[in-house]
Amino acid sequence: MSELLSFEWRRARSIRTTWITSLFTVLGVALLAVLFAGVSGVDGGESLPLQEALESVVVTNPFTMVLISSLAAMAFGHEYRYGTIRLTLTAFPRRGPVFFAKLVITLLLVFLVLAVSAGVGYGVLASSPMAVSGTQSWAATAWHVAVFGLTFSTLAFSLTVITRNHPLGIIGPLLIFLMEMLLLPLIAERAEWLPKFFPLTAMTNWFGGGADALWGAGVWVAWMVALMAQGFVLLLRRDA
Amino acid sequence: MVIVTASNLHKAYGRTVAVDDLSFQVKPGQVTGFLGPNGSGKSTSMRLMLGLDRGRGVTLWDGKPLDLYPHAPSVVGAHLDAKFFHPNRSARNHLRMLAAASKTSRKRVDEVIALMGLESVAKKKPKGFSLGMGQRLGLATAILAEPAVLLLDEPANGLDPQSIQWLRDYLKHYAAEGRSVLVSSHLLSEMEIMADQVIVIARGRLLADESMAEFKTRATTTDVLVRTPDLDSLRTALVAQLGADAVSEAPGGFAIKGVSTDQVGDIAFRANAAVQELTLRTASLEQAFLELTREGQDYALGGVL
Repeated sequence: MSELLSFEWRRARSIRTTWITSLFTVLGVALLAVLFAGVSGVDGGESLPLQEALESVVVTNPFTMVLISSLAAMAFGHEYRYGTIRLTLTAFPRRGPVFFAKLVITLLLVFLVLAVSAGVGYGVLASSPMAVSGTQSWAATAWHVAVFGLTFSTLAFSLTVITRNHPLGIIGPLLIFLMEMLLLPLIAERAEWLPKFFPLTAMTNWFGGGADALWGAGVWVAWMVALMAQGFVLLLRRDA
Repeated sequence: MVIVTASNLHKAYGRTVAVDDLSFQVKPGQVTGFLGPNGSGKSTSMRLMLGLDRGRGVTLWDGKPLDLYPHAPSVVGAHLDAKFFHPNRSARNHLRMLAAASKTSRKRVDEVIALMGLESVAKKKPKGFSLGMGQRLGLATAILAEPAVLLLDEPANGLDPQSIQWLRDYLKHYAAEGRSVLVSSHLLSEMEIMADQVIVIARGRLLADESMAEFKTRATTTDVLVRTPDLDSLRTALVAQLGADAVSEAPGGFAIKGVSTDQVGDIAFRANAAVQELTLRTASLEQAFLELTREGQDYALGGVL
């Protein structure tokens, strides 16, 4: 397994796209933090609650969603796009460990980038004179950032294995996000119960606490496990 | 030393059968040529052997499936396509990445780069590589961990004549060290020189699995062409001496099987027939291959305009 992890780590870090995407994520978060800090306090307005603002600039924005998805989609996307999956599976004929090694390295990479981005984002936001402590705890903020990162990594990673289409793996999670935003108002009037089954809505309900929190957590876990399982089974069964 | 035993390999795409119950062995110490027309199933067979394509049948590497080996790169190295690399990962990084899979040293990576003549482009991105350079990088990946078995799919495509000669010598040397080499190629003249054993398939079915010498002897034919203005007298003499089955009409004379030019010359002399041409004709490996696979060609070309 150590050889497989070492191979995967070298695969990820030996292409410039990984570094550029990571750098763009950090710079993008820094830029968003600057914008947040700049907007707050304009016209003598509101203060800047740090925890909530940090969560917004690090994860809950389309920019970071796409970049995290890009990092996660690379694991299988590049392999299928350039045919190197055949080299990988010749060197490591057991496909199960290949799947998990890619997942481990992908999550490691995403969490490293998110940690650095969060650090930079906090530095910028905290330097604002309008910065105040938010209502949410730092532990809850860290947990939300981690779950968002995991969600978009899982969606991008799984969609890429399932479709073997790198671009779809990148934009797929964003499309799911947008579809939920656009569909929810339409559906809510006729079938109020249905949005609870959507993955991102379920995650939001989970974070929101209250009566729907447990249900939301369950639906979110079910989506993540189902997508991973689908990707795993297809990797095992299909021609490389 | 690893004997590769492929048994009952079968792969179908819908109703099209690409590989049909194919069984053969690749033995150590020799280069095995894998021949067949376009679309005959050579590449699919190789992918089935490696477990890359899902189908029926089993391939055992010294009695064990490949996925039971803890360290597959030391068992088999494969080169299936000259474009299997990330276009923006340098050739050296590509090899270092694969070296991590086999715990191969950086020194070995540099050795292989030098062996393949890739030093000047080692730090370059392979997206600008020619087909020949891509082949060299693919060969480098295959031999990196010094595997017991090499599987090479059309490795000579795009190589210049010097590189082809080098490849031939290298593979013969590699096999002579007790390793197994399976190499597919359309360059029959190269195969004739390089391969000790030959496996011929068409439409996914096995047509021949024998030594190159046996294949040539069995598949090639030799006859004597004689041209003469005295057709009637020579025909009578030839049929009387050799039998009607051995003699067939040819432009301006006859083609006779199973005899030497000396024998035909003697017969013509005794029949008082003038001889304008007396030639021993031997069919080449290419002719033998074409003859053997004529019925099994899925993508035959039309006639010349």
